[in-house]
Amino acid sequence: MTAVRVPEELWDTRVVPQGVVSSWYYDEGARVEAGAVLAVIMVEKSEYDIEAPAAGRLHIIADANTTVVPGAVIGDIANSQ
Amino acid sequence: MIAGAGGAHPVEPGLPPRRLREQAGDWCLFDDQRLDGVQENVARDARLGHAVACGELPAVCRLWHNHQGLIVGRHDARLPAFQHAARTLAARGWPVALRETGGAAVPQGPGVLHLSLIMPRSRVEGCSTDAVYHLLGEPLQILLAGVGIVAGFGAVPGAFCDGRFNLQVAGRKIAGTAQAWRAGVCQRQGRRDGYVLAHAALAVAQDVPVAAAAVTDFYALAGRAQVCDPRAHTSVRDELLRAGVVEYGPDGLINLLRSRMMATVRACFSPVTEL
Repeated sequence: MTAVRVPEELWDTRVVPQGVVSSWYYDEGARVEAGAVLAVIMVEKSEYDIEAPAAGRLHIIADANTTVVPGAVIGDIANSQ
Repeated sequence: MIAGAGGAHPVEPGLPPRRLREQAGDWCLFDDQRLDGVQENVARDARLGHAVACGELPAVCRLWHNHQGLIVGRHDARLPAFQHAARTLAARGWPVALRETGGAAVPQGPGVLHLSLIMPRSRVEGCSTDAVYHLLGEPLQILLAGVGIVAGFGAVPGAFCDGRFNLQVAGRKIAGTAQAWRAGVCQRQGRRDGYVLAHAALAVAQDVPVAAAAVTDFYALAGRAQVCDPRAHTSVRDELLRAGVVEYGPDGLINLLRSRMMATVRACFSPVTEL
C-alpha cells in the first residue's frame, strides 16, 4: 500500500492552517498508473496536482471539499503485482 | 512616495526569490504584444507550460495583456447557474474563461498588465507556494516603487479574488496573484515533468467600478450573493492621481509600465534570453 500524500512543505501553516481537496480525477477503486494526476489541492489561490506515487487500485481517504494540511494522506494505492 | 503599509503583514518567503530563480534554471523573456481574448491567453500559458515541461523552452517570463473578459475559478464553474451567468456576461461584453490557476472571478482588460512565470515543476518541487509568490511579487514591487508606489502583500476584505498574496497599497488591492502546479504534462522518451505557472495581474489603468460590478453581477447571476467593493481596489493610475501626478493618460501609462516591466524583469531574471 502506497500513501497519496500532500507535500510536507507546500505552504506555511502558521498563517494558513488548511488547504482543501478541490477534486479527484478518479473514482474510488479505479486502477491508476504511476504518475497519473489523481487530484487537485487548492490552497491560497494555488492549485496543486497530486500524482499517483505508484500503480494500483486507488482508495480515497479525503473526499473532495475535505480540508487538509501539508503531509496529510488523502488516499492510498494498493500496489499492482 | 505613496506608502502602502496599511493591511500589509510580514510574510517570510522561505526560499528567497534569487535562489528560486536560479533553481528554476535558465529564463527567457516573452514580451507578448498580441491582443487576444481571455480564453486565448489562458490557453497560451498552458501551451508555454507544456513546452517548458517538455524542455522545449527554459523557464518563461511572459508579459501580456488582453481584451476585456472575466476569468473564473474551478469552484465558480460549479455554481448552480454558472452557464447562465457566463452567457449573460458574454452578451454584455465580458466573455468568461475558466482559469488554470486557483482563485475566484477576476475582471481583465486592456488596462491590466499581466506577468506569467512558467517554470519546470521538477525544478520547483519541494519549494512552497509562498516562495513562488515572493518570486512573482518582487518585480512588481520594484516596478511600482519606480513610480513612487509602495505595495506590500496583504489580503483586502471586499476585493474580488482576495488572498494573502495580493499586492495592496494602503489597504487597496492593486495586483492579484495565483498559481497552478501542473503534473504529468510531458511524458515522453523517459522524461516526465509538469510546470508551475505563477500569474500576476496588475491594475494599471483599469476602470475599477466597472470591473468590480462585472464580478458582482457574475456571482449574482450564477447563484451566489457576493458583492465586490470597488473601494477595495485601486490602480496605478488611481494612485498617481491621488499623489497629484496627472501627466499620464491611460494608454501612455500602460506603455510606460510595460517598458519598465520589461527592464525590471531583465534585471531581476538576468541573464535572460528573449523570445
